[in-house]
Amino acid sequence: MLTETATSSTAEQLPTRLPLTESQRGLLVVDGWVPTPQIYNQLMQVDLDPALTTDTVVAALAVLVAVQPALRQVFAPLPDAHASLTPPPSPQDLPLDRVVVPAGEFATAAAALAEQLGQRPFDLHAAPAYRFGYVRAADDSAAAFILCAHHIVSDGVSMGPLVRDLENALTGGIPADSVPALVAARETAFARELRAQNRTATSERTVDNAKAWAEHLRDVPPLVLSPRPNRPRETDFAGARVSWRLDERETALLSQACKRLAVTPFVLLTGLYGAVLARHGGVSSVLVGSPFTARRTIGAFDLCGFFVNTLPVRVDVDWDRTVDEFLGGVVRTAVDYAKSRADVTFNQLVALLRQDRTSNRNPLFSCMLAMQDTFDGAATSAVLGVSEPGNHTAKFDLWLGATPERGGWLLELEYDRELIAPTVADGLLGSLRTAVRRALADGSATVADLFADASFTASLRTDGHSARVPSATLVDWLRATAAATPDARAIDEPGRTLSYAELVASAEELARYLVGQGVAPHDVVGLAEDTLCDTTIAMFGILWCGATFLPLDPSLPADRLAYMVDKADCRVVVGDGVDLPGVRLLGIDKEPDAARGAPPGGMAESAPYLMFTSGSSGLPKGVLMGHGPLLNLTAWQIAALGHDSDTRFLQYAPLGFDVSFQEIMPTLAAGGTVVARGSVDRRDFPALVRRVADAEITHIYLPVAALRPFVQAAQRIGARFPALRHVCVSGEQLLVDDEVRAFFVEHPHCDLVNLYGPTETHAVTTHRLTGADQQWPSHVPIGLPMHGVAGYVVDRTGHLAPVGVPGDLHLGGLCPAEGYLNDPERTTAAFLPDRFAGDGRVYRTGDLVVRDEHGVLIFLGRDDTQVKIRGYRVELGEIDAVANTVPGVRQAVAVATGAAGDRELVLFLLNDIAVDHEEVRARLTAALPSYMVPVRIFDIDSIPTSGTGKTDHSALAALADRLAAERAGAATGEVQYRDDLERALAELWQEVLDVEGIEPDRSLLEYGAHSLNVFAAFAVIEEQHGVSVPVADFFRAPTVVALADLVRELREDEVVA
Amino acid sequence: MTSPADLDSAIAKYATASFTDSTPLLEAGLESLSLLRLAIEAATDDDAEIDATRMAGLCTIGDLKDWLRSMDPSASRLDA
Repeated sequence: MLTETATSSTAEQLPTRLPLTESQRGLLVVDGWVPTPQIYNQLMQVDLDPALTTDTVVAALAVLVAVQPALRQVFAPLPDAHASLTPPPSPQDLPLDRVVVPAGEFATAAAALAEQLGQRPFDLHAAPAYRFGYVRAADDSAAAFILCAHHIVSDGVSMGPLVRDLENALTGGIPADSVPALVAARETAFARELRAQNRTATSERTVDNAKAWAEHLRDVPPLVLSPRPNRPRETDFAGARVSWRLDERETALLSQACKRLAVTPFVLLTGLYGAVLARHGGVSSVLVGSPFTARRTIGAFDLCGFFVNTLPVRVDVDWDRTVDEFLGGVVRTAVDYAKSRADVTFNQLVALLRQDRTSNRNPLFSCMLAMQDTFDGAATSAVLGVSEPGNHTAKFDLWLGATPERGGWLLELEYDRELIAPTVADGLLGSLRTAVRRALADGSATVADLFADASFTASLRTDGHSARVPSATLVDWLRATAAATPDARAIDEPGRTLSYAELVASAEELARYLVGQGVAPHDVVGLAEDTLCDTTIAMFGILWCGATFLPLDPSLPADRLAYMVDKADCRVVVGDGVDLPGVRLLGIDKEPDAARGAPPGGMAESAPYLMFTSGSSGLPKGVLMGHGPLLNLTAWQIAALGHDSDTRFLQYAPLGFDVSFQEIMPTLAAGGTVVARGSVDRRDFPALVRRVADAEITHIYLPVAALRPFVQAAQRIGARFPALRHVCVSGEQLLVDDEVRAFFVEHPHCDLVNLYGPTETHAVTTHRLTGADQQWPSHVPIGLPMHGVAGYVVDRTGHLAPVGVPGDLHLGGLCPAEGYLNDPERTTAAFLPDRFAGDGRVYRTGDLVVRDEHGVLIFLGRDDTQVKIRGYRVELGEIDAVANTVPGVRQAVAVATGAAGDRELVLFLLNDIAVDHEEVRARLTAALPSYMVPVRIFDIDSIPTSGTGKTDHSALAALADRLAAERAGAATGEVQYRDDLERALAELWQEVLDVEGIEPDRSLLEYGAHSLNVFAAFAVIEEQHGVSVPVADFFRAPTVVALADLVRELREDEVVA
Repeated sequence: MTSPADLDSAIAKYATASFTDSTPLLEAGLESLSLLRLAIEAATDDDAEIDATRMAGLCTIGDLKDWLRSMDPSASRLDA
């Protein structure tokens, strides 16, 4: 009997407007703009004693709604968001769908009814947010009712009060004459709880706690599960579940572990789930969202209602810490931190952290853990069981539900199907299962050892092209080709050609001369010849000596050249144009009478080349590349790019760039012709296009940054390339668009080959696209490794990463260089033993990649260049790709500037014609979430590039800072608006956000606008301008200019109507 | 609302092991849900409020008793 509740409270005068909790307020806003508000429908199926008559059940449901005021709330947004209570319904007025089915169909019918109830959204402003279903077996063998209620009126704790009230109503525990008093008491308790929650949320202590907590969370990186380019930023919330049940033994071990560590199962699962998320997100700190009860008044524990604060627990994962230290120390402290501040609301944290709320993804955290209540049927007789059917949705990227069941725990992972592929979800569950089992088995293991390697064989999968190496050295291979086709043209450059016989003879002659001058096997010999013919002769002449060639570009600063030759202990240079102390310049024709020696020919144990690559310390590192990798590369390329005697490969790359090796050696090994660029400047694309067409080039290898200009130049000139078979690119992330694809559609015989590989390994992976491919990914994968190369994706735990888990790419097999010359320390740090294969070595690239569900490698960037804007990870290339589609834009490059908290995006445009920035902004706004739309756009005359043709983002960021400072300095101090409407709107926002000088075309989000204060501002706009601005439309372009346009349009629509 | 005869017996209803004031809560088998239920039982009327944020700082049975008493001063008489 509920006599104590019914009699102990004194009815108070209820306000007509009930305040909302902060959680309700946030949900009301979100419900208003998500396209699928039914995702917030919650279902509860209650199995009933079938002996109860339908009339009894319906009457009890009416009592339930009467005594639970939350169910009778109707919401209104203006002027301040509030709720009103509708009167208790009569049984006849209940929204109730009834179904009577044959006994054999009962379960199916109940599930179908639940699904049907759950799929219909509620209009929160029009009617109460609940509906019932009642299903009964025709033979009276089973009965159940289903409650479908919007989350805004109930939470996980609500199940208890609802079931208790229902049991009482069904069994006479709430006599009819006591209902009015109980209704009054509950309404009073409900109003008190709402007041208490509002009072607490705005108290000084809570506000201070919120500020401190926000600071505590500020440096946590965004958690992106299954990261990939163009990962959806919004979804339809379609969900699926995978689950695992701990058996009795495992459950006993879990209890023992909790006892040993003095932690609750919630702490233990938060820690292990957090570690799984950290592994799969490639980070070391994660936020795990969890609902924390916010009920304050004792009376509220008898109430259904949305009385929780969903808050983040920060889990910092130190992979080397022991499991016991992690769970019993770090995680317990983190959970206590959140629990002791559970009065803070989610909205407060989101606002303080300026988290973006413009997409339909949950801000602040994307993954949840919920400890589920279970129904204890021992104390009830009318209610036989309670369950909470899923409704095939996923409100978060990933949700873990932990339900204690008789004899075990049920762990369910619910994932968003658009964001997480089933194989990735399986991997997540696999990681969770392994982590739980290992944690329970051995608390002294490290957190990293909670996980296991993913498939080793996936690392060995290649692109399928074989690599047959016929010779022991590059020289032997060239000589064999020359012997077979002595008169074929090896080198073709304007004014001079070399046959194979001439090339070999000249190289041998140079070798004899070099040996005569003291060059010995393993010496490093500089190479600084001007022409392609001389360069090629010198290259093979040096190799003929068993020596190593070091390309020296005379255009490099003298200090850098001096450093390189000194580091390499290089005392001889073949060629001209460099003047370095202690270095002798030798030339083929310089000393015809000088002494000659007997060169050994190629030596397999001698490294063919030494190339310097930039180092993080600022000093270049000399990479010594051995014969084994280069022979394998040559053989693979002949097969993969179809080299033969018809090959005509344009020599475009600077000699100091390892791509030059791929242009020259495989072509010559296959009996083809290397064609010189001649006098054509590398950046003169019209001239380059003509050279490629006139010389009937079959293969060209460009830096990524040169592809678009090349394609555009070809289009402008109207050039066609009937001979061209392969356009290779490498150097940075390849982004393609319709313009690039159109080139390959018009050249169906030619494919685009994206190659990836650091200098320390040479090119190692490829991905191809052809005009016949219907879908071109704008962010092109780096693909699959070539023959003999192992591509290991090593995650944060040091294990082979499962599918969808980002990790550092380690390259093993035949590809690693010998190391950094005369730099054992750096060599040891970068070239590691191959612990996955058991022998050999790997090169640790430092490049972040992910293997997708098809086994293809996708480059995600350097680990140290991730950009975080308003809580989200941003891929700058996606912005470039959209801006590139604007007519007139030749090349767009986005950069991030500013410190972590004030990071903003700037876009540079290299244009063919004058481009309207508003048009660019409109295109970006239509295609990207607002946080990815650059704050500023600048035109630029040329895109700065590094020596190897890569876009120099650092130089652009510095330029952005300078231009922004200049623009600020040039400002008159008074912001200009187009008209009074813009001025009025700006003043309104200045008041709402407590800022000054809002620029009309700058995102209001940058000034602190978010979904809740937008709500307040729009109420004023409606009052002053008579139009209701759709929130979603505003967030598509949240500026004063765009808002004024919206208001004008809406006004005009009203006039027309 | 039914009140327990004293705090010890109220706590004993939820504990799964014997305890003294110095016994850690988890050792006594008390988790947050149990603590909330205890608080509800110990409260004398529906107007009383629970400050759940203090639950994070409760380590021992003694801490729990202090919390229950502070929530509702009248509860102290139950501990006689």
